[in-house]
Amino acid sequence: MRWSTFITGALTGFLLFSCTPPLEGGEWGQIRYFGEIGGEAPMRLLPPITDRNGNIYVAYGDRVRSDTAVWVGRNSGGWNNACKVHRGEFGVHGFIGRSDDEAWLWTGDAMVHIWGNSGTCHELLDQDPVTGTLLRWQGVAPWVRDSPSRKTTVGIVRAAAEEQVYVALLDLNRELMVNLQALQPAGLSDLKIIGTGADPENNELLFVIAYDFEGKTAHEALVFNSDAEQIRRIKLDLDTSPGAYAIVGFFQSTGGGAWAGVREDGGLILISKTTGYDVMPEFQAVGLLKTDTELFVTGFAGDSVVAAKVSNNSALNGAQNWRDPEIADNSLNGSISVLDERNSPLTRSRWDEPKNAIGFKPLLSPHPIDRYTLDSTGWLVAGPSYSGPAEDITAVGFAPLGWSSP
Amino acid sequence: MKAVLALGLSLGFSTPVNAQQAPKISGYVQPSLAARYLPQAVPEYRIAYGLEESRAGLRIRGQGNDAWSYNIYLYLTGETIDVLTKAIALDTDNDGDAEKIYTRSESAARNLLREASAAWTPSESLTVQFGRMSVPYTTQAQANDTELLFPQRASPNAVFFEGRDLGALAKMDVNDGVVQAQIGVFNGTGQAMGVDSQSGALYAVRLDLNPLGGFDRSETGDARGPFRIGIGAGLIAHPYTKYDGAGYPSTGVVDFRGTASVRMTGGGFHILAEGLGRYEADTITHRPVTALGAFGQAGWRSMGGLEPVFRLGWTVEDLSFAPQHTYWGEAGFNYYLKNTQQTTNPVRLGIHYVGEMRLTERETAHGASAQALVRF
Repeated sequence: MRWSTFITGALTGFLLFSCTPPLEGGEWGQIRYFGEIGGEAPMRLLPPITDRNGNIYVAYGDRVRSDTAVWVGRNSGGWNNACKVHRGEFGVHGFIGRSDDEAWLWTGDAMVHIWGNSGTCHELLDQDPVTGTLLRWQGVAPWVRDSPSRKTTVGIVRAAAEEQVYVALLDLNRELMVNLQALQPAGLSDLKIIGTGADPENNELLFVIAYDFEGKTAHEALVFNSDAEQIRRIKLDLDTSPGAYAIVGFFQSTGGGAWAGVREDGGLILISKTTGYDVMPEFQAVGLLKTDTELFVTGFAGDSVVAAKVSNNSALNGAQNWRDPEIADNSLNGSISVLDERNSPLTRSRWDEPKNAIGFKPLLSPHPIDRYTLDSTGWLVAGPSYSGPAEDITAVGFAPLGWSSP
Repeated sequence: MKAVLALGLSLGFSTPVNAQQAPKISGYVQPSLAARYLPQAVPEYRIAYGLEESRAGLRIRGQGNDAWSYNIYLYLTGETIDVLTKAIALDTDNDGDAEKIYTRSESAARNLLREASAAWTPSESLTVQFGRMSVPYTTQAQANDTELLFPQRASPNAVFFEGRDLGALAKMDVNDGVVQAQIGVFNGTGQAMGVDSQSGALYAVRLDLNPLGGFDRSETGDARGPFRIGIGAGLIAHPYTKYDGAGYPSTGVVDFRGTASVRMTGGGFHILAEGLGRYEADTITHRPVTALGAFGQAGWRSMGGLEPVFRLGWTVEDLSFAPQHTYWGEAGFNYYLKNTQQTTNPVRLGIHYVGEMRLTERETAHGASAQALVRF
């Protein structure tokens, strides 16, 4: 054993043990510089997620592009080159789950499996294992049920050349579909997936759909359990018929039976156990925030960031100011130290005037905010940029970001 | 650690050499029929049974001279690990690209050598041990494999620390075991400490107080044994450096694990309760790994040789970001056959149930086993 290593380790340990207080709301942790990505802040990036081992997954892409890419940061430092997988016309939908050392992404018609240790990824179930027919994953619930005996999720799938649509339980270990059942009513046509969601605490997965049947357009919310068994079918009373994937990110649950989803135009779709409706709130909705016990719609009232609680009966309460995004945004001033993990050995460098890299403000996103720790999430920061052949190329880093309930 | 070993060896050379004694050989064979039921698993894996948990051990002990002794413990078990022996890239749709990898694995026996150590005893109250041995963390980890209340150690114990490691350990015994202290340094790359490329010694310390006198770690209550009670605590500190693929240091990590225990024996009773905790932090992630756990077990061995046993356990892992709760409940009977040949190791028959409830993962498991433990 090297004594220098021991001494370094012991000192590090002592310092860590005494110097790792939790992050305050809006406080940034260490920025881990991992790559240079096309675009200017705010960038075409989703909020990152982490697996149980602490590997970080960053997805690049948006709803109208087909150049989805994923970077993986190792829990021991260092990042893997981006892997690129996409199929279909629509862009990236979002991460659908994680496990100990792997994660899954839904992009276009494809489901992508990403290994945390190697940073490699591959498309799974792109074709029917028996017939070889190309499969289009039209809807996938954003939750991988992870237990010692199986890893599963639920998806709505159809063969590329067929109209018939199925609900399937996906065995992600074996990369097989099981419990395949035709989506009812039989004979439906022009199916649109408006959005999907998941409530792991209550073992519920949501698919909000629109379809034509017997000359009428129906809007429904289908709630399944993690075995792909339908629990509820809720008729929605929507003023305007939303298009496919009208919900940005995913629906999120209050935990008490209600769901909320954010539309691109700042409107909302709110669903209770018995009905659902669309509403344009008094503020511009841009994101959702799920705490241990509550769900908030986040957005802007003028220049202020606000959050409004969603009740279990799907009513939207009054908006109140939420300071954490402002604090986080304002603290990205001046020159900030970053850990450059692009090459080995890791080195320190500085960024002048870094910016929030995702959305309008930190912590505002319609995608589920990952629990990096109980009081922080992972977020992305944009550093210096330079002109590229088609657009600016910008340095991007990952950092933990503290937050507290509004 | 090399310095510690060198010091020990140099001290060993200075002791007088006497004639070697013949080694003492002991061991056990434990055939075990076990069944497992996983209600939430796919049908193929829902029910499993077999003799995989059977095991056998052989221990060789002896004195090298007056001050030096040795201990070798070989362990064979039906529990195996899958070892990758072949990997072939498959082009499943014949488009010229490999989409999947076909792998073939073979079962391989786990560690054959469980313990191998030499011990230097300069005085009655001090022993210094070198080699592969159990790390003095929980009290249960130090009990012999043949003297456990159940066929396996408590599951929370396995979640926090299991296995053996290479190192040096000093054991101090004051006033016939009223105070027992152990302090050791290990290489930190034992089976349960991770497989990353890392470097850093593991330090362990444990203190036991037994006010009525020392007693061994055996969990099988002696029907005629005196009443003994003991409290103890152990701490592991493992500061280490992780290296990246290019061989440069990437992360400094410190891993603390603590435990506190209460144990009691006498009149055929055995009671043990242990609490466990873990805190690991590093220089990069700002995400500590924390976990808590506990278990309690009890048994009573009657004069007739029947021993009902119970155990409850709990752990919560990933406490700092996504708490994952698991509970265990175990019960069973041991029966010690009449000892007509007056051997000190009667044959033990056992039948046990274990239930596991992974609350966060929504999964339960049930297991049962019947074993015969034949010691020699």
